[in-house]
Amino acid sequence: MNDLNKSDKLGRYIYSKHHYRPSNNTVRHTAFMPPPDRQLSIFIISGLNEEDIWSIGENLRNLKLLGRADIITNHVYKIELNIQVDNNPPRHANIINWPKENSAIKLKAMELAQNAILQLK
Amino acid sequence: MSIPIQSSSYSNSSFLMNPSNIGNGINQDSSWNLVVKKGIRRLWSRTSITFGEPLYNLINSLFEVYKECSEPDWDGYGASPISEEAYGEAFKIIDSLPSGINMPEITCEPTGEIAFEWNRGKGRVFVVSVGGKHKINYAGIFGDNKTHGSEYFEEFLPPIVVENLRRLYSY
Repeated sequence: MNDLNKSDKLGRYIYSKHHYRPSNNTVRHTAFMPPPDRQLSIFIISGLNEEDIWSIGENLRNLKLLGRADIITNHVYKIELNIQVDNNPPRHANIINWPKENSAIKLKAMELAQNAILQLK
Repeated sequence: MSIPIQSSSYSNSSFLMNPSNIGNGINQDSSWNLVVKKGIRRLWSRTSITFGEPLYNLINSLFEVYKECSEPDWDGYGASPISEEAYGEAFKIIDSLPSGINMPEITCEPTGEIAFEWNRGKGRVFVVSVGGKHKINYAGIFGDNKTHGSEYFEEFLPPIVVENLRRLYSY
């Protein structure tokens, strides 16, 4: 899977309770803040059934999978970020083109979070 | 706005009600920890006299965040741990909150910063964060308007942060 449509669905797996608000089941910006290498790990989950989607996240880390934040590809492009598909593992991609300033990164993460839908495990 | 408080062995009332217990479970020998303890005691007395339960809950929440995010890779994606310096600076943020302001929720960022979030629903959110480097990073979404920046931080909240908080609650 290399070519993305604007309507493709992406999933960011959540392993920390600090990545969502239990009070209203919404995604926090922290779920979308990239690590120091500014590559935010996501999976292309369009066309998969729920069982397969959860299976990817459960086998990804040695941490309990708490949920995921789903977002449409177009929301990423609209804020001038990009998506680099590496298929390593299959369906894996990174959100790239993050700015350098912490505050600018924070704002973009907030914009992604407010367009994301929380799915709890 | 709700403040999530999880019950645990460290976060129960008896633990925080006695300031001499504050800091147990953290690096006890650090001189910085003494500074943090002093700050907690000052806030504790302020809490009991003027601010009551909301500020008390906020301090409790900060302690929980510090416990949960002070190890590397706390998020499974290689997050940096929260440092004692960031923890101490977060107390300064609490201490400098203007009276009458809504209490934020506290969380940790993968950069190792502690974030304070004021969330009024979709399209109305303001976040500030500190990492123990005398710097506040902030970002806000106010409907169609957006802002972000950073400011030097020592004792008082920078005016632009206070202004953005008022902006968030002005409509």
